[in-house]
Amino acid sequence: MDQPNSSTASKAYKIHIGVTITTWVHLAWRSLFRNKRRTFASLCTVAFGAAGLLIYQGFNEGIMNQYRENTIRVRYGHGQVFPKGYLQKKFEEPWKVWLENALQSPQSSGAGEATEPDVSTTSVAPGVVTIEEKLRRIPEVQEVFPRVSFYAFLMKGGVTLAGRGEGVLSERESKFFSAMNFVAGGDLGSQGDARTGLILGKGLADSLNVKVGEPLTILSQTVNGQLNGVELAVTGIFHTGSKEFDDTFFRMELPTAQSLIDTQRVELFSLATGGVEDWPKVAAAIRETLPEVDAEPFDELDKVYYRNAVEFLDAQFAFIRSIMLLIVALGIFNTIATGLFERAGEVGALRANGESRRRVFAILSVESALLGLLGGLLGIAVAVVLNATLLAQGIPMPPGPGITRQFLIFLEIQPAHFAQALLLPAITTLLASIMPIRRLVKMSIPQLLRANL
Amino acid sequence: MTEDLHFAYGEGAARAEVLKGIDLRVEAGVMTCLVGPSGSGKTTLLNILGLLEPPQKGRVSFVGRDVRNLTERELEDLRLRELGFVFQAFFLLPTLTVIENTTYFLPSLGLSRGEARDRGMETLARVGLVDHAHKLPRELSGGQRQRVAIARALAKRPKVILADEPTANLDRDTSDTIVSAFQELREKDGVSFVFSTHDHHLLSYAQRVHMLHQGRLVSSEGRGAARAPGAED
Repeated sequence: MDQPNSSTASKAYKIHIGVTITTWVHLAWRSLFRNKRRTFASLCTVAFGAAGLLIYQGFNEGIMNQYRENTIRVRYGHGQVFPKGYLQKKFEEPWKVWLENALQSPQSSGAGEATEPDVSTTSVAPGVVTIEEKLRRIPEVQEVFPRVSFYAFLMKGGVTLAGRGEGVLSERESKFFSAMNFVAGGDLGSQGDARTGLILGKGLADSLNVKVGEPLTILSQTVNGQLNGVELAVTGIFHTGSKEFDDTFFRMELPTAQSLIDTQRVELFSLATGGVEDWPKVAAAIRETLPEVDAEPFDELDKVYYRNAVEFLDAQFAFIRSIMLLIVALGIFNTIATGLFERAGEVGALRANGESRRRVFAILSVESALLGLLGGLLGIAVAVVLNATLLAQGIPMPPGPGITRQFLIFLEIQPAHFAQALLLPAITTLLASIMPIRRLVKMSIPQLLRANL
Repeated sequence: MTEDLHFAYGEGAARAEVLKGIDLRVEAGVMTCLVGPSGSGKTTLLNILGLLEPPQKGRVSFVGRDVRNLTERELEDLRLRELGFVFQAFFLLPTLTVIENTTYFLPSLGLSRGEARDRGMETLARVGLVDHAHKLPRELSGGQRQRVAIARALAKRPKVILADEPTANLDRDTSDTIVSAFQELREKDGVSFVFSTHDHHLLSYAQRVHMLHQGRLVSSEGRGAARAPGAED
């Protein structure tokens, strides 16, 4: 006699399971429309929750992206490269550990590798490869921005204020650091020679009562401890929205700054990559090829502003999401329970004829899950339509904590948000229906048969 | 078969004993009728005979097996394969068509979709509903719905069909159609029928009539050949 082999048995079992699930879904789908008004009410409740979740999450993502882009495109780039241990220690004379960009290890390879001329240093010995060149060789790195920073006094007339200066390569930076939001004038090169210009934050400009085109005297200490000064003309006033930055920071051309503090070195390199997702690869490549430096991503550099804001928004969203799902669960619990107990007689008749508790439980659970999924889809459709119409012009937001300007938020709905808006309400609907289903299934058959009489 | 069957609802002062020492034997291929006034325990006895409710005291055996020793799964399996239940209120699935209601249990009995459909149509033919196979229950009359409920029970090819007041609320002609279907099944397939009823017309077709009064079996009457449906009382 032929013995059924295990693979045939397993195939038959899979087919049986497949047929069973198809039957459950088929029954659930048909039952869903037995009371159209009630189903519609339940669908609306779930859809409201799903749409709310999607819009709120898109809104949250919009805010976070705005924060992120502001952080990246005003101050840090996607990350920065510092001398080893620079951020962990306090230095009395930090410039002593700054990077001697022109005096790095001899070039070991790189024939045919394109590098831009290094404008951060004045002399590069032949056969020597700079840090900047090494950074440029990392495929994900799109641009490198050498910088120095220093403290200085800014003087105009009888007013003297302390500020924090940065030396930057304005021509290179202006292409990437696009969120400076100049409220007067423009970038360093906009009024003529970039080397004689200066841009500063709105708060600082207001305190100094300085306008575009007016001169400012900058006094700072050189690396040798001597006082040095330079007179620069204001070419622009920026208003990034970050109060701390706008009240304190000013920028000048890198060679001008290096000359002011009398150094050829650079403090750090800001990096522009293909996107935030590239940073881990960039950091790994830097660890491998440049052991003398540390690489930090923008969110680590701006913990207080960006990361805390993101964590705060995430926590807020998690709380509001729980409330929304609770409202959905409470909203449909009663409708589902009423609908289920109206069917007690039918369930009793099925069980009297041999239907198992397990199957009844499965069919009713699939029905609830299906209701949740349909509600989720409806909610997603509503959210997408709202986003394309009413919310298409953005949502005007008042200044947030630590921010001084209003901004527009556009919903940024990611693929994962769709999945969440679909699945969470479906799971919530299923969970909300588990208790009444369990109660129904646990009733004895005579109880079920008597329930609707 | 039941021996010294007892059953009560409620506890303490609210306890109401509805079955008091019932001894009953349901014979194969026989139409058995339970009669008695409301509250006499007919439905409870039918529930216990149909393995819907366990006896509180006494013994119930089905095809030689003591039901007290059966697990929930085994009881479900017996209800699926050996018993069919028909109710006064039909309890059809309103979103499924007549043929879908009829074949509902057949996949659980191992029939393929095609086999289930063939058997369903064959069963509907026996209760005279082939032309209504693709209608929804709401499109049918009360009698037609009851016949769908019978077809659903019958399609499983059970040994026993239990029916609780199957002709209540139905007119005489419809009752006759249903009783005809019962008779034919009993005669051709040897299906046993147990039903409770107040309907004297239905009673006249039973081979055995058990009368209950206040939870006790007060008489059991055997009869000869069943009368033909539609005959005058």
